[in-house]
Amino acid sequence: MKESSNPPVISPLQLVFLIFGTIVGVGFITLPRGVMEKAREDAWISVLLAGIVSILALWLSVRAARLFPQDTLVEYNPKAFGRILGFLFNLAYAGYFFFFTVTGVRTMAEVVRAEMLPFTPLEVIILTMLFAVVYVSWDGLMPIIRLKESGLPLTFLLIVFFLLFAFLEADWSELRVPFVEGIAPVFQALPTTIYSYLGFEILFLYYPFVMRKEKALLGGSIAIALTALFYAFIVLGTLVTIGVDVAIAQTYPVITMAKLIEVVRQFVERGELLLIILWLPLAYTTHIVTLFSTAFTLQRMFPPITLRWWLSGLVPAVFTVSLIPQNLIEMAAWTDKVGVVGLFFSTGYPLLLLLAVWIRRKLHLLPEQDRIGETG
Amino acid sequence: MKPTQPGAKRVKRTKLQRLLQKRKPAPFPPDRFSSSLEENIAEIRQRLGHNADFVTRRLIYAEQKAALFFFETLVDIKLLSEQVVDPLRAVSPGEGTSGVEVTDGGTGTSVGEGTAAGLMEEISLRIVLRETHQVAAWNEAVSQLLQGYVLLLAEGETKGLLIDVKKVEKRGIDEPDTEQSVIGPRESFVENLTTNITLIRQRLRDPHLSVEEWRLTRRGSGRVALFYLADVANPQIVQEVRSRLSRIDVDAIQGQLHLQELIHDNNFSLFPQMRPTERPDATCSYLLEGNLALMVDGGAHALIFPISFFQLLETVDDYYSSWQYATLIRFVRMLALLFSIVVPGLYLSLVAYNPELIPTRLVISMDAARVKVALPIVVEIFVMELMIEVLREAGLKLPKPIGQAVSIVGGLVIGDASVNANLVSPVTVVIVAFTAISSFTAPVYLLGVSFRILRFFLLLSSSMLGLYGFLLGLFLVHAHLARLVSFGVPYLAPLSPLRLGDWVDSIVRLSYKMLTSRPSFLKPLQRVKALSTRVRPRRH
Repeated sequence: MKESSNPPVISPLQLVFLIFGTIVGVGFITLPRGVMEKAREDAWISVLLAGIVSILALWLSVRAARLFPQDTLVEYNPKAFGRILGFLFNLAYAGYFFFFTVTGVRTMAEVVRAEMLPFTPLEVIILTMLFAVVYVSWDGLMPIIRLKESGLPLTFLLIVFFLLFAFLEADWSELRVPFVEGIAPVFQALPTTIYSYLGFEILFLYYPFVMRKEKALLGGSIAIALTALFYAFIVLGTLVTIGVDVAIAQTYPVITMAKLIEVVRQFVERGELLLIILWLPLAYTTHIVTLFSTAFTLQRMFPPITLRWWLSGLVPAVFTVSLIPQNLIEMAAWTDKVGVVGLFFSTGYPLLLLLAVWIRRKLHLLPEQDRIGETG
Repeated sequence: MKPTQPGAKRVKRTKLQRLLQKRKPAPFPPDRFSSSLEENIAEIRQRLGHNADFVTRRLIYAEQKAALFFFETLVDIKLLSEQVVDPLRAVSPGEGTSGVEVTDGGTGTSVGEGTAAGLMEEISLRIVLRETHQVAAWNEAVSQLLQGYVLLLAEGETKGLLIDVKKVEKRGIDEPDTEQSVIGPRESFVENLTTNITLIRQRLRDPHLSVEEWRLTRRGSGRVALFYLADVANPQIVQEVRSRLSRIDVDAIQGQLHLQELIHDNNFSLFPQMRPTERPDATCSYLLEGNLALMVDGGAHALIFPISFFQLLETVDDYYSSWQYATLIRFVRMLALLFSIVVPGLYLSLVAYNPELIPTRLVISMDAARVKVALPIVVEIFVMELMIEVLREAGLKLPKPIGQAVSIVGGLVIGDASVNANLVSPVTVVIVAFTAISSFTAPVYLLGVSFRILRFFLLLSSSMLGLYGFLLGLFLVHAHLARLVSFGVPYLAPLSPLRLGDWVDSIVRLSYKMLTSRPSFLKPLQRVKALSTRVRPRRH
């Protein structure tokens, strides 16, 4: 009954936590800035809209993943695109998660150094975090899922509870009637906002392990909807507490918002530290999934090398690469590039996959029937 | 773990076994009994005669020479004389001499194999109340003699008769020591396996209760009993524990912890993956839930498994007090245990790195007290923790009355004096003492121990990296719990896999009326354990 030798089995509820925990991570403390730069007072609408778009993308992804219910992306890429192109896609996918981890870890380390440990080198912060990430990934996917399932609900509730206090300071006159400046700004803000929803692409990797596959779409949608509500809640909070103009000028608008909470400040000098304490578990869970997905993809591409070797090999790689950007601005540029790739993997890639499979079927290179061996 | 490892281990072990078997010189070459009684006596004297408590008694049975062999320290002499010697003697003078009943009596020395079996058969029929069986080989006979059997050999017989007249030295059934309950039953297990099986059977008179007995060791008694409800416990788990038991090859098993460490999943984990309990009632209620239990002869605890973390936080008293109170006190216990690992690390990281997170008024008064303390906070708190551990250990090692006095006086005097001498600040004393007391609320002793070690781990991590290190330490502990699996059952169940239906018994305790199903994480064969019995008072 050694667990790691069995394939993981993900229940619908666990899928919700897996996807939610992957999406909500490092990014949400900077989220309001990007949205508000474009959509200003209508930012919360953009966020909700981006959520809906993401659910559509998820639908597309599930549709594509369903073509090969027993395979992960690594196995069906060569089947659909041919050996060379498939290999390149796999490599790109692994690289995407690698850089997702790099940017995430670096951003987190910057925040921790700025707010908690001003005299500690970034290297130490990054390396210790990576150690914790590798420790939980050591036995495979199930411990990761269990960690999220048992830890996330409480953390999430505490964050919402904490940020609710911010609404006590609300100045509701900051709000405006939606669409005063037309619909265009709302849509212009969409691309940057959708970056914050990235993470559900992991479904391409873990779809074969989902227990009740017909519920995969539902589970993913719930996770994204929950994220959308949470993001809208945060953006609205930032909007009514510090206002658009201040928020745009802040590096971490949500932290600035937390600083304003008067109720907490009566007890504690720096309330925003509490927010960071609650934000760290979310960052941690995201790092785990992205690093593990990198290792998992690579292991599936090169089966002779075990997952543990890949995990331990990735630590120095992530560590080194994450120290390359000189400052936060360079880091932000990296994050944007990762976002573009993510956007491709969540929308363009499933379309390509569907197209490729369609063409291959027309050429009779793939069996005709849909959903081979899918279990109800 | 690596899939190749267990296989490799097994190969190694069989090699070792082969080696052992090879090296083992056939110690006593002729393994069969001889038909001459004198030769047999000589043989057994050579094997066991060097023992002061080994006794050989000759007697005449039905005009035939016979002998009894036994360890006088292992057999109950009264039982022996009443159940064995008396029936034998009752035959000899009357019937034996006439040769009527014992047909082979006359032909005596020349009887062959078949009739010999007949003689032993006949004797065993006379001994009604004790277990008997025939034996033809020395090695088996000797090992049974050491279990407290008496061996009867007769002239001309190549088979002997083993009669069970064990003497059992045991203490009476006592009150439980560590798992006390105010109004619950007051029985606890003893060190004798047979008594313990009786205690469980008396409570669970169910034909589905399986009690498998294993003999696991090369030396020593090595009796291990495996309990489960055959129609409830998951057969995969039963199979798994059987295979783990069958792989055990040791000289002797010293109590239940030895067995636990031989078969649990993760050898490096601080957390107990099986729950020891000294109460038969608790054992039975776990068996009814779908858990399994193991007991070792010589150990006074049953080992319950598979166990989840939250099942370790249950106490028997939760089930002998009103459910509201039980739930309240369970939360208090969880909180206390959380405090016991979290508070020192948190305190250290706040004071040393982020004092701005301490309420302003408190930090002022704390600082006023700390100003005179020369030691850095890290050293201060480590020294205090160490002192508490020393006091605790000293209190345990000394005889009871002195131990208590030492720990009280030591605690009071040292605590007070070190504050007065400005060695430590009073807040540190409060924190350390509070966490030490909190860790004693653990329902399972070993869990309290592991929490104490984890406290040092968190102290270390937060002393190096402040609040960040403290959080990372917590992540690691959480990650470790998420990785742990006890016989295929996730350790964090029912938090993960999240089943709110299991919370009614594992996280909170609701009224018995609502506890209608067994925990799903144990994957029992029957989920339902009671039908919902809503008794509504009739209204007129």
